[in-house]
Amino acid sequence: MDVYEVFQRRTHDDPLVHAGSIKAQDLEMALILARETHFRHGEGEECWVVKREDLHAVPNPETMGGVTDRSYRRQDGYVGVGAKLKRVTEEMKKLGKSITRE
Amino acid sequence: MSDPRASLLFALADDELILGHRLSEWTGWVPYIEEDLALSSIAQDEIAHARMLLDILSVIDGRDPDALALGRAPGEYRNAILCEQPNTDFAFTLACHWLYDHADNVRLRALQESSFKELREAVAVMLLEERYHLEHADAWFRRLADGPVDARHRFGEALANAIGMAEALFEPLDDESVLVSEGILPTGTEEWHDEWMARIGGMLDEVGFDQVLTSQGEPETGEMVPTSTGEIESTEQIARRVPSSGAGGRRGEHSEHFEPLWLEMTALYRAHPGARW
Amino acid sequence: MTRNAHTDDPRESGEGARYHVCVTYEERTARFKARMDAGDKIEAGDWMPDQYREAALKFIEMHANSEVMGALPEREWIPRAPSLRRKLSLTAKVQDEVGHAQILYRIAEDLGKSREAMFEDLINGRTKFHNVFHYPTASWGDVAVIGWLIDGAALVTQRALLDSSYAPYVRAMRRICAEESLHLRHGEDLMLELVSGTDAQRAMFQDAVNRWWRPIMHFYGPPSNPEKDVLLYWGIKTKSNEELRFEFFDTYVPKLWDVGISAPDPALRKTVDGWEWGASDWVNWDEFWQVVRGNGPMTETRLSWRRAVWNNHAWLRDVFSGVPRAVA
Repeated sequence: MDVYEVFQRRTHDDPLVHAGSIKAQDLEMALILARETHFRHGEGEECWVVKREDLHAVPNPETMGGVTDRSYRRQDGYVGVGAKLKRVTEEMKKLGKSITRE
Repeated sequence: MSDPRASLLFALADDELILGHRLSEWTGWVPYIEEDLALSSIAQDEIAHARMLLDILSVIDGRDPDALALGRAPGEYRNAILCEQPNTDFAFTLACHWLYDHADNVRLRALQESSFKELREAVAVMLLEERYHLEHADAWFRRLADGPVDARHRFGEALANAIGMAEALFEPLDDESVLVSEGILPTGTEEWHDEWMARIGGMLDEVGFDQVLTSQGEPETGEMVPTSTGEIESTEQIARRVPSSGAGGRRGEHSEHFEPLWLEMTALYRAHPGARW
Repeated sequence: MTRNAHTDDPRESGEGARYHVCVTYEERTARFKARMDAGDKIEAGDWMPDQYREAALKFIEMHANSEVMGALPEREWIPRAPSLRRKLSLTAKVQDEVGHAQILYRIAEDLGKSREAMFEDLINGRTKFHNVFHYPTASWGDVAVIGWLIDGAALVTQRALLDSSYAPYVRAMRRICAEESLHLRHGEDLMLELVSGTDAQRAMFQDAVNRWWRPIMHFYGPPSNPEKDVLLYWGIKTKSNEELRFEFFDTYVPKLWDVGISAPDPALRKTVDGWEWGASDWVNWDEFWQVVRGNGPMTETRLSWRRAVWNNHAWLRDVFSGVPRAVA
């Protein structure tokens, strides 16, 4: 018997998410059984299975996305930008540099 | 340079900065898109490490990290000339990456025991990211060494071309004896060199690349890739221009590839003194 | 990936499902179109009419090409970035564009064309990409314009693709749009530093806006007849050129004017029901047609570099394609 990981798509344009796992002796049985173990309440529109040994985790996940400052890759690196726009806009208005053309 | 710690920090930071600069030039050009992304992250790691080291240096030196990175005269840069070599064939980039990251790993591990607290802390962080660099470099090393004839041949040639310059990563530092006596360097560059040589020697032996350590680099033939600006340069010219010893970088004596790199890297910064970007 | 649970698409069923074998191609296509018009999404493994597959492949392939080629203009400034933080953020930004190409080429591959073939077609000029942005990059001002206005212009069209009928593309676009909105912040940040900086920095940005405004107008294409657009018909695209152009104006022109930067189009003004733009002596659709046919000022140069790198690295592709090893 092998362990099969079960994945579902709730609706067709959702991503696949992990739903759980089952034990089965082969792929055919896994497909037959997963249907009733995980989807009997209509949990999703699609069900996928993959043998656990065919799933491989990336090592050292704690360093993914960088350990040193990578804020420039995320929104939090730019939190001040909205305020800066306001400030510069006001400054330009004061200096008479802003443009109006209606 | 009065503070001996500065000579160590300049050497470490400039290696990372200049290598990171070269690797970042590949972003958008690597002929294998998934690898483009991986190499770009490694480039960003190296530049980020340079920035950490320059932050520390900035306290000693007084200039801010950007001024240190982009505002020095060419002769003040202390990177090994391996790091400044132009991007040509991807096999050459991977060979330099493998040689460099093993060397970097050896010295960073040694520096974990440094008496210089700020450096020790930075090194601990850097090592976390460098682990991926080693995995990446070794994975490519095995695939190319074990690859089709052409790939193996190119990689072997590239390693032979780069090995002399890679050894010069361990060129003695200014004030090294003071650094060692103060425990800032727990071990000296010569010991680092020997440890690195034993490590890469073993790996080269394993894949039948032992000739890399005995041969002088032979010029490669006619590979072309765009440089940072897209101009095309052939490795044939490049290989001939590399000084055979590969040394000099730690004294600020660079290969002729450094000045164009420096000009491009620093021109905008230098043209607008005091500007914010 | 294969759909093990069923060999055909259950959603296509309805009452005709039991008579599959008897259904003609035309009937099947009609049912497909009806399903799509009802807002249903198409998956990679679903049955689809050839015309749909071809249109989707061509569109996504061009999008992927545009990302991988579009990374090149701004990457010219990675080596010249004026601070360490900008060097990092610009590298990461260009890296993301390459990442978008990776995502899109994978989706296109699943529609039946290998990446090798797509790259070969790209470098040999057999397939298209957005040429409208292949002009030289003259200054750091260009980096700000590309990062803010051009990415902004592209995001307007990309957001419209979130409603596309092809589900893998929609999922990709969700991720791409999220990353693009990060890029906009990055670009806006670059812009703000320039317009609030020294006179030279302000001039640098204004000059870049002047040079890039026409390519941005070209990007949306000439006002077109939505009824003749095959991509609109199949729901791969959902908005007309002019609708998208006005969205761009709405978002960016007021901001530009606020910070005292002008657009070079002398006719540009807000009207009660939209925008007036493109003075007759200013728009140049001849240049546009030249550029989209692959004669952008930097198109051939950038393509030739990519061709050189690609051709010189056939050995690298052999590493993965089962060419015999050197050592047993």
